[in-house]
Amino acid sequence: MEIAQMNASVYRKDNEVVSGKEMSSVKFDQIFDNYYKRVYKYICYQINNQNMAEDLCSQVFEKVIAKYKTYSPEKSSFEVWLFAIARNIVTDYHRSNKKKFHLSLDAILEIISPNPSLEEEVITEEGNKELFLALRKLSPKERNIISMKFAAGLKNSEIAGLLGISGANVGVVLHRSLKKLHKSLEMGGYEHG
Amino acid sequence: MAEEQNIDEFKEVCALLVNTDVNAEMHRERIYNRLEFQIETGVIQQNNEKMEGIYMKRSFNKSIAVAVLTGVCLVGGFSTTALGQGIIQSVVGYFQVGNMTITQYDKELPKIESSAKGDKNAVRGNTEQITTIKEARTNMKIDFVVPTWLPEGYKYMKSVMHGDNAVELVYSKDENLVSLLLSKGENGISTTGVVKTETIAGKSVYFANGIVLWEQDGLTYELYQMSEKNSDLETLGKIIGTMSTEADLNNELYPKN
Repeated sequence: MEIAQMNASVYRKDNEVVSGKEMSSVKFDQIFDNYYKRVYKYICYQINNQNMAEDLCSQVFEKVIAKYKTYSPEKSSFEVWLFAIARNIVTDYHRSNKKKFHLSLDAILEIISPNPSLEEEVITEEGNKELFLALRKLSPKERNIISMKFAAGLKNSEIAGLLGISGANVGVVLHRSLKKLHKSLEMGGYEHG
Repeated sequence: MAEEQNIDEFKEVCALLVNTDVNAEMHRERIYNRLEFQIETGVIQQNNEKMEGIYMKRSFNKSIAVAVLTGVCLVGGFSTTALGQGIIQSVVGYFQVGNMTITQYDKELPKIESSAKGDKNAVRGNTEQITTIKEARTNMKIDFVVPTWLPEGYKYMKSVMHGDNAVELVYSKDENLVSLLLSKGENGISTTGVVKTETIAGKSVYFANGIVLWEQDGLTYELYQMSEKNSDLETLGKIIGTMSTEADLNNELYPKN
C-alpha cells in the first residue's frame, strides 16, 4: 500500500521531538505543529462534525500536555501514545452521546440536513461529500481503523497494538472497509481519478 | 503481503483517504490559542492535580478559568474587562452532586489572545487496570456499593483506577458498554446543554452531557453508556435502587469476583 506508507514515512520523522520530560513552550509548539493535522483529520473521519472535531482535538492536546510526564518511550512510540489518547477522547465522546456511532450516522444519512452548517458546506464544496457519506456506512471499528491508517498514518502493527487485535485482523478489516468504501463511492457517483 | 496486495486493489480509495483536505487549517489557530491560554493560566496543570485523569477534564478547566479570571477582576478593583464580563455572564447555573459541581454555561468561553509565555509543566495522572471489585475497593480504601443488577446480558469486565480518588467500573454486553465512574474529592463538569434533575430510587439524579450523575455514601457516581438503547428511568431506577456492597449477590454480572 504505497500511498499510506509514503504518508506514514513523512509523519514518522519526529521522534526527536520527545527528548525530555518537561514540556517547554518550544516542545509544545513542535508537537502541535507535527501532529495537529493528523489528529484533526483522525477525529474528522470519525465524527464528521468539524465544530465538534475542533473541540475534541483541543481535548487531545490538553491531555497530551497534562500527561506528558507519564509518557514512556520504552512502552511505545510517541505517536502511538498520542493516538491512544485521541482514540480514548473519541470513545468518550461517543459514550457521552449515549448512542451507537454507526446508528446515529445512519440516521443522519437518512435525513441529510437541507440546511447544512457552514462547516459542512465547506466539506461539500471541497468535493469530500461522497467520501464522508461512504465513511458513515462503516461500523465504528472499521471507521476507526480506516482513520488510524489513512488519517493518523499509523502502521498496521501500531493499529493492532492500540486496539489489542492482531496485525492480520487489522489487514482484514482494512480490506473489507476499503471494499465497502469503494462500493459506496461508486454507488454515490464518485468518479475515480 | 497478500493483504497488502489486496489493499492495492483500492489504491484510488486509499489516495482519496490520504489526500482529502478536512480544512484543518481553518481551526488550527483557534485550537492553538485555546491551548496556549490554558497553559498560561495554569488551567491544565491545576486541573490534573484535582482530577487525576477523570473524564470531562476539559469541562473542569472552564470552571477553574472562570475562577481565576473572576479573581483577577476583583483584585483589580472591579475593573473587569469586556472579556471578563463575558466569561462571568456565561455561567447560568451551578448544581452540586456530592463532591461534584456541574456548571452550566449559556455559551462557550471566548477565545483570548495573549503574547505572554509561561512554563508548560505537565502534572502526572495515572491509570491502572485491575480485575476485581475487591481490588478496586482496596485501592479506593472504601467499601463502595456497586450495581447488583444491570439489563440482561451485561457482565462486569474490568476496573480502571484513575489516580487514587476515582475508579471506573466497566460492564459490557457484545459491543454495548456501560461505564460507572466513582470518585471522591472535589471535581466538576460543565455543560452548555440542559441539566435535568429527577428523583430516582430516592436519590437526586442529574442528567448532563449525556451522563447520569448521583451521590451515594459520599462518592459521586457517573454512569456512561454506549449502547443501542438508552436506559429509561425505570431501568435507571432498578440500577440505582439495587446498588449494594454485596457484588457477589449476582454471579452472572460479576463472574470474576
